Amino acid sequence: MLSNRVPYIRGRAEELSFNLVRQLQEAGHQAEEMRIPFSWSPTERLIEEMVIARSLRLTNVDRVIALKFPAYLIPHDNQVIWLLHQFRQAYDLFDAGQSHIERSPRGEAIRAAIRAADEDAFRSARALYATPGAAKRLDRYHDLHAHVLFAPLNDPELFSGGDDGGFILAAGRVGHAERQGLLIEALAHAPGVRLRVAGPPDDAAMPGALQALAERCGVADRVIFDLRFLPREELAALVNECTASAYIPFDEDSVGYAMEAFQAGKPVITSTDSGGVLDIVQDGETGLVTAPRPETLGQAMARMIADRSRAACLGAAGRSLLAAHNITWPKALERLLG
Amino acid sequence: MKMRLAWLGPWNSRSTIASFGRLVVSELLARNHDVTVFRTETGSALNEPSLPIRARLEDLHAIDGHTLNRSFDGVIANIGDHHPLHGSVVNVLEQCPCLVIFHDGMIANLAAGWAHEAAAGENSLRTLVRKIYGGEAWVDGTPFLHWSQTQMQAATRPMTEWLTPLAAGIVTHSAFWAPRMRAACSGRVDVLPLALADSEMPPPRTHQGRLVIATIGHVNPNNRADQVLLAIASDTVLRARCEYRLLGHVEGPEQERLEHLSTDLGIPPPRFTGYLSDAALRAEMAEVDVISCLRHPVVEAGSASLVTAMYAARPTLVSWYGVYAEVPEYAVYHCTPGQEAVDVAAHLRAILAEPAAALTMGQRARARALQVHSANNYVDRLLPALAAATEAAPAIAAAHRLGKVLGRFEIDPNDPAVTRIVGNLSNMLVS
Amino acid sequence: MTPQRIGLISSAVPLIFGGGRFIVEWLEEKLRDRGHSVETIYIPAVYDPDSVIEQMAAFRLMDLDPHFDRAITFRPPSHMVKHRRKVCWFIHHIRTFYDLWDSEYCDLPNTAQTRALRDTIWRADTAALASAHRLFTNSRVVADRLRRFNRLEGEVLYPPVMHPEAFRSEAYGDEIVCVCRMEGHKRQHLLVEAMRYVQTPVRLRLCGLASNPAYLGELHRTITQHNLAERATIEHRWISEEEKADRLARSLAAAYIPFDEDSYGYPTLEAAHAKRCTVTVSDSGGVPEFVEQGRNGLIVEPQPEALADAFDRLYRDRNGTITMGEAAEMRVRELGINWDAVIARLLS
Repeated sequence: MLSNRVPYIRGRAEELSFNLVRQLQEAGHQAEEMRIPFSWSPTERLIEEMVIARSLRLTNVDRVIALKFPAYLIPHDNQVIWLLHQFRQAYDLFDAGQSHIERSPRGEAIRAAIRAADEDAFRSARALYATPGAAKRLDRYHDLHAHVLFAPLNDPELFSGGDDGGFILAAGRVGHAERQGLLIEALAHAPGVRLRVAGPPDDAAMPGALQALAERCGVADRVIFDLRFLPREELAALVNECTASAYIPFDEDSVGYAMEAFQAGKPVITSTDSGGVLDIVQDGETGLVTAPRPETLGQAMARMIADRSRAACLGAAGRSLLAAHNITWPKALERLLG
Repeated sequence: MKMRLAWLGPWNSRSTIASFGRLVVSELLARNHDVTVFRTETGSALNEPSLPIRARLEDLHAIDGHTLNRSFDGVIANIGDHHPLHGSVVNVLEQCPCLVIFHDGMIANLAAGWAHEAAAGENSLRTLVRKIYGGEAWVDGTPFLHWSQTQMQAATRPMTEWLTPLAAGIVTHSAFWAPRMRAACSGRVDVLPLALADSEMPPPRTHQGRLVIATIGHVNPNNRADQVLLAIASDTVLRARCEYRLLGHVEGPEQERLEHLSTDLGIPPPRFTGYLSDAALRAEMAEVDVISCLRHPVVEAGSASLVTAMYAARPTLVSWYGVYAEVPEYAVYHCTPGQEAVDVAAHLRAILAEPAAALTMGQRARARALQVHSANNYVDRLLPALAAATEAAPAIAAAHRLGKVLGRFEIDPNDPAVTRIVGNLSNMLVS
Repeated sequence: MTPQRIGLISSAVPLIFGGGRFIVEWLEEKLRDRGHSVETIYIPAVYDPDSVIEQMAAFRLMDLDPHFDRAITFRPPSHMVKHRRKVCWFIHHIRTFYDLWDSEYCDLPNTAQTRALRDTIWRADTAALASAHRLFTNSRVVADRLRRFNRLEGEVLYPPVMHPEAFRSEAYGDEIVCVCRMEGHKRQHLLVEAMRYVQTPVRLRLCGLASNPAYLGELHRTITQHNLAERATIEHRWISEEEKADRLARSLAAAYIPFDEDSYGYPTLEAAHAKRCTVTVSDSGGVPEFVEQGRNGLIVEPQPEALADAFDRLYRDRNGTITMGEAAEMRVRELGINWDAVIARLLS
């Protein structure tokens, strides 16, 4: 199983890759993950990284499952790509003006090189699977059809649900893209609502900045900050106890947080520009989808807390939806090994 | 130390490169090396009978580059500008970078033939030309090759750079193309005087006031036959006393052109013998007093016909540049490139006036040829070149493979990333 | 020492776990115990002549400086990486291009062209190892090869076992124990054959997994054919660390007789921690770097009869065997085979 690593960074993708190996082993296969160092800055480096991948060689395995750029460029005759995401800086993030690749002839040459390498890899893979966001991009940028394969929850049994402790949970990475600050501002429009922010901060300045923001908005007494990497059991306990989960990143692929909430029978509050999560959260059915503004977000949070049984209903619907899609590891393995 | 060598080249009796090959391979065998000759002809040229040699003779199609690279102590490939003779070598070079003897610096005909046979056709040839020489090198709508455009061809798209980067080391027979080859090849480029067997021509006779001038071999416009005619026509004495013969095949359009020119000049046309076998050529040579080896533009990397002429001990006229400029003035008669006629006329008058001096020049030419162009001399210098190429080949092959990886990312060969990444490879090998 | 960010960089073949990985993983844990931030990175590599040069170049292209204060490399071609503080703990060459060139273990024909490939690899290896901040090897055998082929001096740094404290000594029994993978290269068949010739009641116990069922079958057949079932026991399964310690604790001595191994092997060291001497053979490669004839073990000809003699001697001269066992434990200290010493050198 091939993926990348940026040394010392461990996030959801790393957990997924680790769990995929574990699942393969439990199913009786011999599996190992190898994660190759990846340095994506400065942008010139990207060419070196692709050459490195293309120059490495692998033996002693019947099949390779590759998850990320540029790991899927490592040659192997029997490779299945499960694209968690391509190198978005060369694609949609560039188009949105959020890429570190320059708008210049050089930047264009680098993007063209990435596209050429990607096309080569996608077309020579034995099978091409992708999470929904990545699949949409494959279609849009390469005219390629990938089979959609959701990443199953790593540990569904932890998210058993439970009694509603009367608070909104914002779990996950705490960073600018995730916009927890917007939720804090929204609290000012949700009197009496309590919010808990739990997850690892992107940088050392984040905790102080969020605390200051809460004080400025006059909601500091209603926010609990738990800014660190939480062990799974602790995180699951919070999800199981919350009334609703709030997840409002700007255009992220990730649906894992929403799936955890649904597994625990909790509804999800999200916003209209949050990206992949909108594929599974429907307004009024399994959660609430609002504009990314403090007033509307505040109203949504207040509605959940005010009407707990409605929240529980939405949550139950989310749980059923998840069950209906059968996003399980045995199903995923069946497809990856087919 | 005895080595197992592979010699790649044409091996039929009509090919001068094959004759050269037999001369060199015989010397290698005499030094107790084990040589296997792999014929590189394609198509009907393979049906031409082989030159006899006491070595194993194979068809290059029967072996792949990878096996060549593993099984032999050294591989020597011969390249010339003729696809039927050299076609199968091209595909082997990628997997087996080796020592390449470039008999021609311009290899556009080989490229055109290869592209045609690879069924890649004009499109891929165009892509190749564009990649190497840029978009303006071959204007849309013009043919790739034109017999009257060799000068332009040599200047804008000689295709030298198509194959020179694939070699692990290069031997060329003239310094003329060496700088270009050094620029394109990461291996060593050695300039060796061409090895050629003594042509065993009948000795020259002392002329009796009349001169037969001959040009030997396949003739096309850059052999400057027109300059000889102009020279003869320029002087009443020369008109009366000189006769020009073309001993070998002349292209149809060129023959017509020379006949028309003769008519315009009011002199008899040259005598055209057509293709001559070795025996027939020798018979003709008995009557030849002067040999014209004029060439412009220079497309050959080494001139077998010049060396043949020198072995023949005749006063020899040469266009004074390229490989021809490497032969000293005491052995041959130099003429101004591009406007040879005036100098030719002067030299012919001098030869008529001083027959003994002319014969002495011829003797010096022969002595020089025997010294410089022997197989023994050649192999003495070939073997170190081969050793250097063998040593450099693994790194060059790896650089190539890296270049291809970058090429598949659509990265231009001149991109700084290529320099950086291939540079990492070379730096890896420096202590 | 201030905590550092340390990268442990090695090559690996997926799904093959063994000695080459233990050294990395144990070091990782020991470094963490001392407060350092450690990442272990295994990168795939294939020892294939047609692609080894570009693989080496790929390792050299990797960008590790920004992430680590120090990079420690292990199995080739990981030593090719560039880092301002690169420490190579060089555990072996790609031997087909070195001491096994032109042997039955080398697939390439020996021609000037293949020698040029080999020489190119030598040059690249030499340059990369010469540029290291520190160059260590795991044995004198490997250091000798470094000197002979690359003209480089590597400092011998013997790898300790993960949990020396797990080994203990109890009453000396009458079994010679060999705990290691069962395969032709480790030559357990010679140990079994030896039991045909012993004259004392000494017994043999082999523990470990066989990678090749045919080899295991051969061992069993020998035992049956020569009625050795009472004297020779085979425990064919994964042996846990506890079980290993247990077998050694009550053994008479250990036996370890691989063919031409690069280093003395963890089994030799484990036995020493249990105060047991090791019987080995003269062509085992690195084992005699640890075992000294008659002082802390026995070195005999790789023949069943010679091994039988050694077994008998250990049985008859019980006191001598015990003395050699204690000397084996002292040898560990003599050679500085402990994590403090090793880490001090690696981080120097």
